[in-house]
Amino acid sequence: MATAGWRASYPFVRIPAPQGAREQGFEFILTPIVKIEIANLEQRERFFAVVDSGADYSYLPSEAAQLLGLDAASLTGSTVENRGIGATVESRFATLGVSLLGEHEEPETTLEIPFLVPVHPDPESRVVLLGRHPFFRLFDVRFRMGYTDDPTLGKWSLERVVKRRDSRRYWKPAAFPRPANGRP
Amino acid sequence: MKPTRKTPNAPVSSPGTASPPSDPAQELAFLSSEKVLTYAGEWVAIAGSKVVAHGPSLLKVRREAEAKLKGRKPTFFAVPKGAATY
Repeated sequence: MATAGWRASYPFVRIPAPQGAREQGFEFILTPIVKIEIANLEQRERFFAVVDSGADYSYLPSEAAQLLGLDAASLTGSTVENRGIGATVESRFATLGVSLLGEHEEPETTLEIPFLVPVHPDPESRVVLLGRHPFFRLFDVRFRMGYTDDPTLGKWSLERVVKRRDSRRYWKPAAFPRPANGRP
Repeated sequence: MKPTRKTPNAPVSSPGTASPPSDPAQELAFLSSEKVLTYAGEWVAIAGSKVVAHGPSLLKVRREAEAKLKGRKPTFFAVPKGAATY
């Protein structure tokens, strides 16, 4: 697992916006990208992954899975309907080793992350995503897009979760039934 | 920092392997440059601040990159085509 107390700060990658967005005044897309190494047994490959707070799970595109010698069709476990914007892709989970790579390509922190892998090739979804579960449980992720007065700059950071609150003292959504003793 | 425990699939990128260090900041800077739009919709293999191979097929891109890099490992990225809403 990741080293407790580990933290890192990254500048947003400013991916130049496509023409239509530029016409609306959006010159750049500030994107939280981190360099990772993914391992499937002895096979290891490096990718730039987008940290995606809107994704329920992490996602490994079919071509990337193929590169790692992973055949999604042979994965055991239930098929998951993975819904994105504009498409639903049948996928299965594969738990893979992930290292976040820093300045000198030392694995700064090593994790096991379950990725959804499409069962059938999906050329439309090609970006490696680090979604909320379990990545955002392991790290406090902070996006600071308004970090400076220059809207084209920003930074984001990861901090390993060290101390968790006692769940009995934690506010629960209204849909959760309260315990009989009335205490939160 | 060193990992506290190695998992069965844990990547190992230690000094002494065939892959000398490259600076991720340099590589990320490339993704912020206008040049990246040239590769929209394609896979790119990046080493240092350079694209060493690109194309629609990741397998072919890796093959080409490996031939050029002779042991160094590239980093792959699929450049979004248009605005990405994942």
